[in-house]
Order: sequence, then structure tokens, then C-alpha cells
Amino acid sequence: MNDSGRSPDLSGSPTPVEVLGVARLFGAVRALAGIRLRLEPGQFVLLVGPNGAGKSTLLRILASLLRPTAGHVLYGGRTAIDAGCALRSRLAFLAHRTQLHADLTGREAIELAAALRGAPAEAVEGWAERLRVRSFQGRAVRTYSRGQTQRVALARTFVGDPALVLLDEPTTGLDPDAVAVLQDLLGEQKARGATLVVATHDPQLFVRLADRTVRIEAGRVVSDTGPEAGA
Amino acid sequence: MNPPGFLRTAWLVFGVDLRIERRTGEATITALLFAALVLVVSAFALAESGAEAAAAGPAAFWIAVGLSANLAVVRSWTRERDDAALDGMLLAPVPRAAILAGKTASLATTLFAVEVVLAAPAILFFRVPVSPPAAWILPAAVLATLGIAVVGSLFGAMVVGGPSADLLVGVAIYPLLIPLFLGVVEISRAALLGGGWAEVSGWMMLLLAFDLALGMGALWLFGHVVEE
Repeated sequence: MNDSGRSPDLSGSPTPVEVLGVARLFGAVRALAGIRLRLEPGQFVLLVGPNGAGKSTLLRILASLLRPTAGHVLYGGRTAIDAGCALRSRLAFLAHRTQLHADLTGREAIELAAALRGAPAEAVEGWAERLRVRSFQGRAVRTYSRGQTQRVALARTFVGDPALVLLDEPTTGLDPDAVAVLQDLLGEQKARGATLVVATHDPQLFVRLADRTVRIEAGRVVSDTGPEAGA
Repeated sequence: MNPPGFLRTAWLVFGVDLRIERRTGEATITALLFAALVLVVSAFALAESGAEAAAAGPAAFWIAVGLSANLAVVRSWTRERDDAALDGMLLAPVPRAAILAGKTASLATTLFAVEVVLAAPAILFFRVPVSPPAAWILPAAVLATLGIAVVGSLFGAMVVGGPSADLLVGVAIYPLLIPLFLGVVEISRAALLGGGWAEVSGWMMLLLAFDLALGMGALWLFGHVVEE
């Protein structure tokens, strides 16, 4: 969806993402150990695995917020440093931490994201409506329940119509109605050609949409299969 | 989509930071109370020294501002690290250095507000002559405040969110800020006690060069230090 209520077609600008032998250490702890993946444009990839497997670390590296200790990630053949703003204009990342200022209102948080992405003011209204945050958007984020915070964080994530969407446990705190909205939304994102990578402990929620399920354990890819094998 | 450029981004970040500060007052109030305490204790210690107290006043004032800046820096960056709000801005397709510029401007505004509030009690406590000070005390204060803010912001971005942030900010910024404090104390003393421009022009150039060098260095480094 965009400000006019329609999803822009992204299929004309394919940018594969290549993860080439990425490893990451946190002190002596090895979070990732030589991950190799190729994400095709428009793919919906589920990332599954136990706690501490390295899913969030991989997403942070894909989002260019974390540097790999070894290996690198190429976005359409370019590194994150080379791609810079051009990469970030196409990329959105919903982390487990919500990336919201607690003392802004929900509305202000979405407006800030829109302003920093150069999205029109109408987009704020559209996403607030779509994620059903309008009834509480005037209150400070610190007063929200976890589910309300997550809805605002999702609105902030999608406000720039990103082509590469990285979501870390996007259903955290959401009630069943909001999960259904999210499922519809991700279906629309996939239909418009966005590449989606979703880390989740509940793959059944997205199994209808997923093209691949990548399972990570102890920082390594242990399986990379179609959706039916990922549940 | 037409993402904002450097100045617009800095303005947006500045606006958000000031809005939050207006709502919470956490950096301003914490810094102001601490600075006032340092000033009062210093004035009490120097109360019996007569004319020397007036000469010591600028040093006490800038020590109070400098120490309280540590608290303001930590408060300012804690709000960016809580729930990873900074990551949300770093993901935007904007020059990352502009985020530092906006945060620096906001921190400088907070510190300047603290200085304005502290100025009158400082004059009173240290029995500074009430004749109008030389006009160049104002640009000196602005340059010093900007210098503290830019160094504080860079190191705040690096260490806040990690363990012992208060200690690390202090350890990191104060050695770097020594030339700046020497300069602004000398300029303030000369301005208040009747010194001439010739006496302070070298210090003023030092402050200017310090701000330019550290400002450009901080803007260049910021993108590297925030990527973990």
C-alpha cells in the first residue's frame, strides 16, 4: 500500500541479496558461523530456529546495522557501504526492540519515519489506518501495551514502501485480528514484488506465503527448503 | 520518495529531540541541578577570598557546566538507545552524520539553557563586577558550548547503552575538552574583569579551530561508530 492506497510494483528493480560466508562474533561468542544465502527478488523467506540460533543477528547484518566479523553481504552486487542511502531507501527492518522513541506519540513516530524516508504525509494517514493505530496514536508510546507498540512499529516499518523488508518476530504482542491484518499486509507486499525475510518462532502463521524456509541453528544454516518443510 | 538532505535531516532530529526534552525535561533538569550544586559548593569554598572569588568565578562556572554536560549527554543518548530508537533513524536513507548534527544542536541548546540560568547566580555568588561584560563573551560561550556538545554527542553515541556509560563518557570527553575549557575560562575572565580583545583573540581562535576540527572529525566518524 502507498499513500494512494495501492501497492507500487517493484518487480522492475530486482536486487538479489547475497550473504557470502557471513560470521559474527560477540566477544568469544560465535553468533553466526559462515552463513551463505541468496535471496531472490520478490521472495518470501521464513527464518526459523531456536532462541540464540543467530536469526536476529543475521537480520541486523542484512539491515546494515551490524558488521559481520567475516564474510560480507551484497545487495545487487554492492556492499552496504557502497550502496549507502540508496540501499536504505529500499530497506526496512522491524527489530525485536521497537526502534520507537518512548516519549513521542505513535503518530509522531510514524511521521518521523515518513519524513526521514521522504514519504508523503498521506502515507502516515494510510498506514495508521491500516495498522489500526488511530484510536491511540495521540498518546505517548511509553503508555502503550506491547501489541499497540508493535502496530506502530509495523506502520513505521512500511511507511516508505520498502523493497526489502526484514521482520524479526513481527507478531510479538499482536492479538489475532492484528495478526490477520499483518498476514494480509505481507501478502500484499509479496504481490507487489517486495523481498521479505521474516524471523519467527511461529512459521505456521506465514507458511501459505513463504517461498522458502531457512532453518538456522548455532549460527549455521541447517536446512533451506520449501514452506512445507519449515513448520 | 524524496528523502531529506543533510540540513533537513538535522533539523528533523533536532526538532524531535527538543520536543522530547520539552516533555520530559530530563537532560535539562538533571544537568541544571547538578551544575547549580557544583556552583554553590564552589562559591561557598571561595566565599572568603574576596577579589579572588571574582577571578575564580568563570572557572567555577565552566567546571559546573562541563561536569553537568556528562549527565546531559548520557540522558540525551539513553533515549536513543532505549528500544533502539537510534536504529530506526540509522535505517533511514539520510546522511547518518546529519543525525549527529541534529543531536549536537539539541544538546548544545540544552547546555546553553543551563548556562543562561546559571549566569545570574554565578555573578551573584562570585561577586563579579556588574558592569556589562565585553560582547565577545557570547560567541565564546557559543563556541565552547558547541564544542562540548559535539564531543559529548560523538562519545555518547559510542558508549551510551553499554556498561558504565556515565564513567566512559566522562573519561572520553574531558581530556579532549581541556583546551576548550582553558580557552573559554580565560575569555570569560577577561570579559568580566575588563581585559581587552588582544588578550583573548588567540583563545578565541583556538575555540574556533577546536570546534571546526572536532566537528568535522565527529561528522566523519559518526557513521563508523554507530555501526556495531
